Amino acid sequence: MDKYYSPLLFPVRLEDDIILVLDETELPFEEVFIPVKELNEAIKILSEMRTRAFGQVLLFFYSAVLFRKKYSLDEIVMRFKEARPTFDFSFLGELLKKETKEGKDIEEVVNHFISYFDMQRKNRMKKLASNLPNPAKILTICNINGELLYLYEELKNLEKEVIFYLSETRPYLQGSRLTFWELIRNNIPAKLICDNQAAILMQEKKINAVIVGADRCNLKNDIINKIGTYPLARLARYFDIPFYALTQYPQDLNIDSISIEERPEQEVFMFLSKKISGIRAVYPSFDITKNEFITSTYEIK
Amino acid sequence: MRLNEFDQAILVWGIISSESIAQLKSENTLIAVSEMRPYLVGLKHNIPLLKKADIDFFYCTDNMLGFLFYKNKIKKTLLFYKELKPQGLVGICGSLYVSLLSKLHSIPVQIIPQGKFNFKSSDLDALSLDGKCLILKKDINFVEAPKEEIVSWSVLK
Repeated sequence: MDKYYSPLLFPVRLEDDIILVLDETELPFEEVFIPVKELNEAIKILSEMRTRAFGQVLLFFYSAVLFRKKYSLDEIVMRFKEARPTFDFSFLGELLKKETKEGKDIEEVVNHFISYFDMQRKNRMKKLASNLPNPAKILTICNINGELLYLYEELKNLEKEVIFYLSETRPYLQGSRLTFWELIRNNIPAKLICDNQAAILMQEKKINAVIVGADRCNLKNDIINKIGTYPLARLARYFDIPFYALTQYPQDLNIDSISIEERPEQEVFMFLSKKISGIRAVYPSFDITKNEFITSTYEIK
Repeated sequence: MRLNEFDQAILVWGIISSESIAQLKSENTLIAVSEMRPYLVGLKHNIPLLKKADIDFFYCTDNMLGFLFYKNKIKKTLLFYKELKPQGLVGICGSLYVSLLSKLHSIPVQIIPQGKFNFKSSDLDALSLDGKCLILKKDINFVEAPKEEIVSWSVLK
């Protein structure tokens, strides 16, 4: 058992013939797992952003395991891509095809992938921890599925002090609802900030490193990540603060050619206490950060 | 509204004054209204004023501004300030964020005296949104308090 634990490390799991998905929209107030028995249910959950990041990878893999008799892998990939166009489900599909080509059991392949991926997450956090200063004053955005817990453990092993500053990450508030929750419940020092406070904290030297995840990346180490990542990179460069990105499976592609998902405008207002209508809004849910603003990446291949 | 539905907009940051409405109207350009956390100045103060004056606008959250600059969707920033000091301008929380992003994308910033806003009736920090607590009650002590920010003249050059 790891010393620090977050359900977000593995937010989707397969139990018998049911996929259980941690409903991230209900956090931190309720830990509810949604049972998924049909592909349509999986796609609905994905479209509603009840899971994302590593959760959507797990949901895809377990859907491939569970629904492969009813749907082809290409069909599952297509349905997932329609729901979340920025994420590279084609790559995951190709990976499964390649690994199962010689008759390997798909469930075994998926379980192996997940164990390997988790081991790589731990390894990259070990490397990153050794490169961070003491004390480490880390700004992060959105949620990196529990990986900050691994980082904290490694920093403590190195006897480094640490505080995390968490950008709330409007409009879905993954920073407040997910990252803050998973750090505080493990007694890890953390402070919540509004997204626009990043610059003043950097100027006041309260931050000495920025760490972000990445939904996509290319061989040049350009990344696509949650909206609000790019301004942090530009500000970090301005204040001469290192900016680290956690990437996986870089692809040979032009990052600007990837379609940036734009969510329905009413979702911008979804966590407000009153229902808002009749106001036009934009909601690009990701942004692009070019490698010139990234100090280094910590990659899973 | 999708980003390809408009060419460029003017970004307003800070508390719009009623005196500035005539200028905003004369710009005859779409206005980008940022949310301005934690207070929601954009939603609670700026939008009602723009609506009343029949000025065309759209809403976005503060963390979307970087992407709007990246996509060349902002042609000018109007920065509303509380006071001017020898070392720089004093503005609401996030004024430095917006000023620096404008500078880093070579977007001109025009400064204008701010209007009045009742901060007492709004959210005070990232722990709540529109009066709704976003975290478990027991965790309420872990927040970095927002404050007025000084933007140095060198940033605004």
